[in-house]
Amino acid sequence: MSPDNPDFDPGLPQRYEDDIARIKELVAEDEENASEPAPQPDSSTHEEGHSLDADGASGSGTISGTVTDAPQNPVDDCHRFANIVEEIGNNAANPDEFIQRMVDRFIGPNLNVQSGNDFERAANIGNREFGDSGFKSQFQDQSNQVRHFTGGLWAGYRYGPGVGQLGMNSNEDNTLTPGRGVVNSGGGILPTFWPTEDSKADVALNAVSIPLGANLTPRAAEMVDRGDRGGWRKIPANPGYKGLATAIRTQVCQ
Amino acid sequence: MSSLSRTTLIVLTLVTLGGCRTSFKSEDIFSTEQRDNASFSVKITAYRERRSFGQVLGGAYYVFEAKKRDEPNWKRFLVIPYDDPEPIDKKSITLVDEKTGYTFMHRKFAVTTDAGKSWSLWDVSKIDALKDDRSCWIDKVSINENGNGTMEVKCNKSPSILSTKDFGVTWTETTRTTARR
Repeated sequence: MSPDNPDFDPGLPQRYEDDIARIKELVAEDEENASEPAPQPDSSTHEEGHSLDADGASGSGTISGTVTDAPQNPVDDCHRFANIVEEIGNNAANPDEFIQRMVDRFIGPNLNVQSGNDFERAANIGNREFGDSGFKSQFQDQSNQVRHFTGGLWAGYRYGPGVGQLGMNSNEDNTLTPGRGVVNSGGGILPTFWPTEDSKADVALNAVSIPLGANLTPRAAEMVDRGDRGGWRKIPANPGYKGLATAIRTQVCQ
Repeated sequence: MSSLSRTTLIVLTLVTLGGCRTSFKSEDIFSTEQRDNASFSVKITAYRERRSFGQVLGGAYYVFEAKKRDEPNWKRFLVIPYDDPEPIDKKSITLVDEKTGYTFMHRKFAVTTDAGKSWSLWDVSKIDALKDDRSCWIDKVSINENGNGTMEVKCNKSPSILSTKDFGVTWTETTRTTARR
């Protein structure tokens, strides 16, 4: 930018000029991407998705825009789950409706997701519709991990990643103290770090499902001022519940 | 005392005071199976797990008990926790004769040869080839009055057939097929 440019403000420090130039570049990139025609969903392979850039076990739950392959094995429990999640996501108008439909389908009917009381009173008899086939080995424990994942998703959505994770993990066993519950588990902290062999799969699954639940609300890309550190930071778009099926395929399924 | 030390102390105190065994209440029962003969009875009772968070996501405890026919009180010999509250499989209990009976669920097997007075407990992990495969579950057991029997174990990779000559106190692997379940 030169002084001959009518937009040039001689009062701006040099680093702001650089920042503004960089923002203009990024905005131009976004506009260019937005103007590209959206890929059409393929009924045989499912629509394109977004792969998580979550940090492994901790499961940040944020989502980037990488296109992924269609499920390799749609027969197993995990990919069947992802396919149903995708259908629910396509038909839900907002995250509230999405999580309610998820709970209705995979945990039980007549549970209001906005009411914590419903989740503390109700008790449903399980069924064998789903097991743990197709889940990554670290999530397998011979139980219905679709139900468990949906529970973690609900906890993350309703309580956020911190409380949700400690609450869910308080129902797991640890190697230091006997029994489960908020007291015996040290508020969920002990199973988080010292799960028993039988609880490892559930604790690991919680570490993925709860952050995803906390990020179900879609968010557009934005630029954030770094404040005293100077400059700008670009926060990528998060497709939220619309990208959950792909997140399951990449993070949870084999 | 710093806030961190205080928090640690409180947590440790609560953990120490709260460390207790799971209790089972009749209002949590959702499934039972029982077999009786002239000398003894065997019963499995499924209790809903009590949770401090998200009760609807609770699992179950399967409590195994036996008693002599004329005794009033049941004697517990095995408890199996499981993440999903599923009804009890009807083939889980078999009474072979007046002294012998066996029961199984998931990876565990138990047999009595003295009408329920004592039980020999066995787990799939006692078979070296299966101990690291947590997908292996007991699917079917058949033991005759001579003490000979077979057990079918299903695994994600390949099922196994085990055999016994001592009423199921010990089992040895006899066949491993390549079929997937």
